[in-house]
This record gives sequence, structure tokens and C-alpha cells, in this order.
Amino acid sequence: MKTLYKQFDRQKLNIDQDIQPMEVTDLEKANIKRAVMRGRKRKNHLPRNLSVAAAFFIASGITLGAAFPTLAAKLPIVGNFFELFVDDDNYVFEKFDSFSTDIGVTKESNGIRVTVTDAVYDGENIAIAYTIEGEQEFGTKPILEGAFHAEEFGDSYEHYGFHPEYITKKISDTEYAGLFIYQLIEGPKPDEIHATWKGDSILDVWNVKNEFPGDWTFNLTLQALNGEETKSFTDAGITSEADGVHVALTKMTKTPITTTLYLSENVDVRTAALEDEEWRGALLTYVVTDDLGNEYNAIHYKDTGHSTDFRKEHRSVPRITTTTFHEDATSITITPYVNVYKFINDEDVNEGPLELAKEPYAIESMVFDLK
Amino acid sequence: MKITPENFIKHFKRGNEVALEFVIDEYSGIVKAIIYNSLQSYNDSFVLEECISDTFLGAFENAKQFSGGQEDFRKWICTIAKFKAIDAQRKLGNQPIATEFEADIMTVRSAEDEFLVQASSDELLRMMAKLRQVDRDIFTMKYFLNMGNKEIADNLGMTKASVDNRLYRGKKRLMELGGALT
Repeated sequence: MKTLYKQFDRQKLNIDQDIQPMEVTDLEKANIKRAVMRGRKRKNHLPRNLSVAAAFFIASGITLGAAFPTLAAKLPIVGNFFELFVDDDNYVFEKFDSFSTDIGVTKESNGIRVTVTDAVYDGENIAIAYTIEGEQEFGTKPILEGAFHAEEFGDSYEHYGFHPEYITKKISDTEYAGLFIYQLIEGPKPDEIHATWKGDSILDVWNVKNEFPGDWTFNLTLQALNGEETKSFTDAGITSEADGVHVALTKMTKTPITTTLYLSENVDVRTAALEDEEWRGALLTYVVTDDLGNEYNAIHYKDTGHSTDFRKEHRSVPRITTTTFHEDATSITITPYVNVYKFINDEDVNEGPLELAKEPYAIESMVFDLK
Repeated sequence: MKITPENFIKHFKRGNEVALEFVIDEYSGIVKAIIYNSLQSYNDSFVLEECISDTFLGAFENAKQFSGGQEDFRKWICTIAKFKAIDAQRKLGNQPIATEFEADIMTVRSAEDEFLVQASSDELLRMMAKLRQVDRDIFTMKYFLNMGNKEIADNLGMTKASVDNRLYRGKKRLMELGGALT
């Protein structure tokens, strides 16, 4: 069906020629709004961000090494479970243990116990560690799914401006450890938050039919960690250019546990993909290293990415969150990789899963001094 | 955040419900008129209302497929309204093909048309993907928007004869594909 809407967009027909708008009463409008919302709720059952992430970008893995002795001791189900995240993707909170707030609250619903063990808010991300235990098997990557909201946010993050990230580790068939990372991308970043995490299902993101509804609601009060520093690079000219690609570093924020790099990307997909006709998508991925040779793990918020559906001027503003840089490092190098995607199916259909259209390639690195 | 005529498209595409309400306030008049025009013979206010909400729901859920400015947006949402009306007609069991009483058309309006009418929208779309872009444009106008051949020709700056021809050949092609699919 999607293709049809795109086709309509392409054709730009003057359907309303010779037709005058009719009057619509406020009551009618209210009815329409209600009907549309109802239709939306019915169809929009799955969390949007999740399905997109699961479908397209699940493969963007990053290795890491981290151990969490303090946390591990608090966790009842297995002695040292945060070590299990060592080989998982995008875990960056290496200093998590020294700053997190001990929560230790368990909620039980429909025979499934969820325990929030720790949480930390560093001003850029909220990270919540939790465990899931039950009698049944929950699948490959179950997560606690549900609305996250803090009263200090107002309605700022109601629709966008945030991005959730989930890490799950299976401990046994009926026990899982999870980490929920709520990234504050574009909006207020208050000093203190009174948050509610209204978990209403345990959902396997690899197989969304595997869903266990229930009610696991947690209330958390978290202080932002002190000592956040922001540095603007808007005028510093730290950029990378290649055929059809322009990337600039715009801002860096440092907290006691993470460093976040804000970027601005512009990709002329046709030029970068060397393709004049068919649909192509492009995603830039980044490798962050320092002058000592350390490579940093990262959580990559990808924003919209790029595709031939967008105009050439379309800008994507992603960010990368890494752990704090090594204290002896004096400069940081960010190397962008260009990944060009196409549809696996018949290329005209423009639906379904994607695959790489060619080998990802690195472009000119961006380097900046830390001192 | 204030939704204005300048920024509503951006927010609408991001799935902002406030922007959706703005769009409903702004465009429900023209959407209603288009649907009313196509469906007035049914004189069924329930069908009419459902069609209007379907239009906005479809637009909202497929907002990412839209590109362009305000003027383009009006055209887009009007096209969706027309399609939803035709689709409702089709579901109500009415023959959606615009009939034209010309000898050459009359002769082909048989098995191929029946086949295309019976094919679901999804099947038709899938098959149409095999056609060239210009033929896809023609088929969209013909089968999803119920436009006449002359109207299609005017829209594309073609002669009516070449639209007739392309429809004829395209239908043959789809029949072959359809046969292969079933």
C-alpha cells in the first residue's frame, strides 16, 4: 500500500479542480479525529522505533569490554551478570556502577517478575538496569516495553526527540537481564526527573508475536549527574567531505560517565550510490578512536538517515554516545563509513527488508583536539 | 510547540498528533467535498464519514511517502480522498471502471478488466511494479482513481489514443503476470 501513497505523491494530480470545500462542523471534525486516533491505536500496536530498529539496523554491532563488580553483587539471580554484557552491542556505561542509584524494586504481574535494580541519569541518557523472571520462555530478546515519561518533560518527548535503546542478555530460558537506555536527543534535559516507566508488556523484539502483557510500573526519581560540559563545534569547521556526502561535528557534551558527539549529515544519495533510477538508502556509521589507539564503543542514534525519498537538501542529525575518553588522550578521530542500502526484493516494489548495495566504505576522518 | 501552516508538514511526517489535528482542521472541508462527490449516490453518511477518517489515517500512516510543500500536500491528500472513495465504492460492490463507449475499448473490456477488478489492491500494486513508470501512472489513475482515458491523457500531456494503447498493452502484460502468479 505504501507504494500507492508514494505514487500519489509523484503524480501531484489536481483532483480538487472545480470542487469547492464543504462545511465541516466542529462536531464532525471531533468525530473524524476520534476515528483516526482509534484507527491508529488499532494498527499501531507495536512500538515504532523498535520495529524499525529490528528490521533495518539490527546488524550495526559494536564490541566492548566492561565489568561491573559493584552492580553484580546486588543482583540476586546470578553472581556476576553484568559481565554478560561484555560481548553485547553498544554498552557504553563503563562507569555506571559508581554513579547509579540503587533501586531494587520488584513488580509481579501475570506470574512474571520484573526487578529494576539500578538507574542512572547523566543529563543526556537515562539508563535503567532490570531483570525479567518467569515460568515461561520469553524468546531471543525480550524487553520490558512501555511508555517512559517524566513530569519535568512536559509534552516535549511525547512524539519525538528521544530514542530508546535496549540491551538484553539471556541468563537462562526463564531469566533475562536487560538495560533500557532512554536517550534525550532534542528537548529539555532537567536537573532532576520524576519518571514513570509504565511497562505493559514483555516483548521479544526478534519475534513480536512473543508478547506477554501485564503491568510493571516503576516510579523513579533521578538526579542528573553534576559536571556536564558542553563544547560547540559549529564554527570549528570539523567536517568530512566525499562524493555526495557532507558531515560536520556540531557539539560535544561530556558527563562523568559518557561523552556524546552531535553530528550533522547531508547525503546526496544518488551521487553517493552512483544510481540514477532505483531507490537507495544511505546510513553513515562511525568509528571513534583516540590518539592512543583506543577504539570506543558507541550508542549510535541514527536520526532519519538518508534515502532517495528525501530531498537532496535533507539533513540528518545523529549523535554518538561513547564512554568517557581516556584521560591521557589528546585528540579524537571520528571516521564515517558510508553504507548504501537497496531493497532485497524486486527493486520496483520499494518495500521489505534492505541489504547493502555495495561494501561500506570509509571517508575522510574528522579529527579534533581534546585539550 | 505551535503548529503553523509553515511547519505542519514536518511535524505531520514525524507522526505528531497535534499536526494531524491541524491537517484535519485545514483539509476536512475539501476532503469531504471530494468524497461526497464520488459517493453521493449512496447517500450513506456512515460510509462518508468512514471514508473521510480513512483518508486522514492513510495520510498520517504514510506521511513519510509525501514530499513537497503546502500546495503539493493539498494535492496529495485530495488524491488519497479520491482513492478512498473509489475503494469504498469497490467494496460496496460497484463496478469501478469508467466506461467509454468506443469500439476499441469495448472489445477489450472483458476478461482483462474483470481480472483487474477482482484483483485486490495489493495484488494490483505488486503487479504494477513490473510496469514502466509512465504505465504505472496511467494504471494508478485508471484503477485507483477511476479517471477516464481522456482525463488521464490530459494530465500526462499525452494523446488519448496513446493512453488507450498503453492501457491495452499494459493489461495484456498484467494478465500474463497474473496468470503466472496464480
